[in-house]
Amino acid sequence: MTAPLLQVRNLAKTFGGTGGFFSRAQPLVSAIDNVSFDLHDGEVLGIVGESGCGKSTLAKLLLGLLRENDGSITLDGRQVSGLPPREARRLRSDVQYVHQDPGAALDPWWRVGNTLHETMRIHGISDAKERETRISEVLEAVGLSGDFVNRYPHELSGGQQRRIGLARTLALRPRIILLDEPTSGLDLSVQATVLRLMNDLRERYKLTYILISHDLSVVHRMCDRIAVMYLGRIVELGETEAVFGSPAHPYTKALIGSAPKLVRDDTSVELIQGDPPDATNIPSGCAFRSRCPLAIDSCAATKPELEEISASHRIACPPELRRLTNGPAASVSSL
Amino acid sequence: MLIFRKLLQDVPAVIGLLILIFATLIAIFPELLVDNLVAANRGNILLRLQPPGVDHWFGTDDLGRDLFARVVLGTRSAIIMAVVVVLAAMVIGVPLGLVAGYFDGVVSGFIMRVTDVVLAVPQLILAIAIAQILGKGQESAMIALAATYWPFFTRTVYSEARRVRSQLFIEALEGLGASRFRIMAFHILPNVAAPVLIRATVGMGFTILTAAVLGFLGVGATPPSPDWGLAISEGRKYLPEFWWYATFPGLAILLLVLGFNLLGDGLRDLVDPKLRRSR
Repeated sequence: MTAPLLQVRNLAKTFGGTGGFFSRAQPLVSAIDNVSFDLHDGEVLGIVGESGCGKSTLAKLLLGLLRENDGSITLDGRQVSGLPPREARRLRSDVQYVHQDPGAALDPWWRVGNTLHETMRIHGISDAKERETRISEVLEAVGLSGDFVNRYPHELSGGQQRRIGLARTLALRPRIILLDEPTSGLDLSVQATVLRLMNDLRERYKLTYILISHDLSVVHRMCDRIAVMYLGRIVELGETEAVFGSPAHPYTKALIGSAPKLVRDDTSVELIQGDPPDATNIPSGCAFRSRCPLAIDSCAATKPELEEISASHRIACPPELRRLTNGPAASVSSL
Repeated sequence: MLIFRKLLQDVPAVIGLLILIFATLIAIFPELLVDNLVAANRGNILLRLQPPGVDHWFGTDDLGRDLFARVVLGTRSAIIMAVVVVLAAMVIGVPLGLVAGYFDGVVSGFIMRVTDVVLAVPQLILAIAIAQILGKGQESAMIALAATYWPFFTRTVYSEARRVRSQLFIEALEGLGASRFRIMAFHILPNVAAPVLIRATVGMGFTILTAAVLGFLGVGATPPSPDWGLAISEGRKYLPEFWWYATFPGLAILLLVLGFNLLGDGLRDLVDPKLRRSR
């Protein structure tokens, strides 16, 4: 296997702790805690988890918009972490982002064409002809006609906004694209076409995707590998079939079990009890133990690290509990 | 222009717009209404304090000058005053508000606290003090008004910039690595332009009023300028027998301020019906 395109090691990010000149100190929140994973060239890595689990913070860290407190990020063999945001962002221009709501990511006063021009100008493409060529190329690639450059953002439909968002990112010729909830707020029929378009673009431009979503069916369909996050930590990481076929962490199991299915089958669903704990007050040891149906006393003692349970499938749950979780997994193939 | 058509449906705003167009016209071309402009500044003591009539529509003042001609001529200085003061206040206040609204931290806090301190002192009192220090004349009145009006723009731009800054497209631009200047000048500024223009419109009316007060108190325009505030101050001594001397400049102020306010309110309702309370 070749070296991973992106290597993330022990990444950590906390917020708050110190107050400003005129403001009181905010409580310390650990948003990302000891996250490590590899991203291989050409793969699609899904990141799933509840709202507030740190998915967006992780995305910002990877993009370089936030500075990590600890850990390292290596892009294509080069160390790109440990820098202030602006420099980090410049070094990571190979990593680009498509917003959850690409329509809102467009300045309402600017025509789409001007936004596309500006996006490239910010990245130092000063030749206007070059920009024109790229714009017509990426618009064609996302399946929009050239006269979309004269539209204002509010004149676009939800699906068209996604396409413009993709075009804007593609114009910069990135290698890794972070897709944040690429289908939220879209009709199912539009979702399908947008997902197909993303797959086509990935092949055409040899892209690597990190797909952030809480829609398990989308993740199941799109991703090669999946990382499940809970309160800033990766609790399960493995190939899609392994994670969905035999989820090993109690949280993943519950998450997959509670996903809505088309087939009525309410008997075996074990719903997760309660809300996620307050991020300022994460339980000691395993963060999930306050909601875990299997929790034992030793869970409070140490934070479980990711450990291999089979080739390319790792979970953060101690071995003594794994026996209990090996029951038949809820299937999502009917999704 | 959909916005323009919508404004034309707003009767008070159209009235305000017409008043302003009329005032601007006679400020640029006073000879449209007054045949003999020289007469406005040349007195004739034999004709002092004549009541309004066919020869002198608004009567004459204590030096026998035609009041109608002087009120018409005063329009120019009133409008120049309003425009210069508001533009200068915008030049100071808008960039400060943008910087304070876009950045966090000490600089932003400092700008806004200074703004708060200036806003805490009544504008008129501060303006009188500054104008008094700078000495008599219209220029010092303008400097005093501009130096006390900019915080209103800083406040408006600050709160609007805060709102815009939290929107996703700013985050997207930061994500692309856009420079701060680019974000502020090309993205935040156009998005805060509407409330700034509304405040500028209403602010011009307000400035005319304050400038008239300065003239009335003797720290603004000096004789023989046909300033409205000055005229009211001089005419005051002849009340109530020679009522026309103070009344007509006063009515001119009323009309012009009304024009600015009606248009400003109309613009405000157009942009955001929720945006109430502005001066």
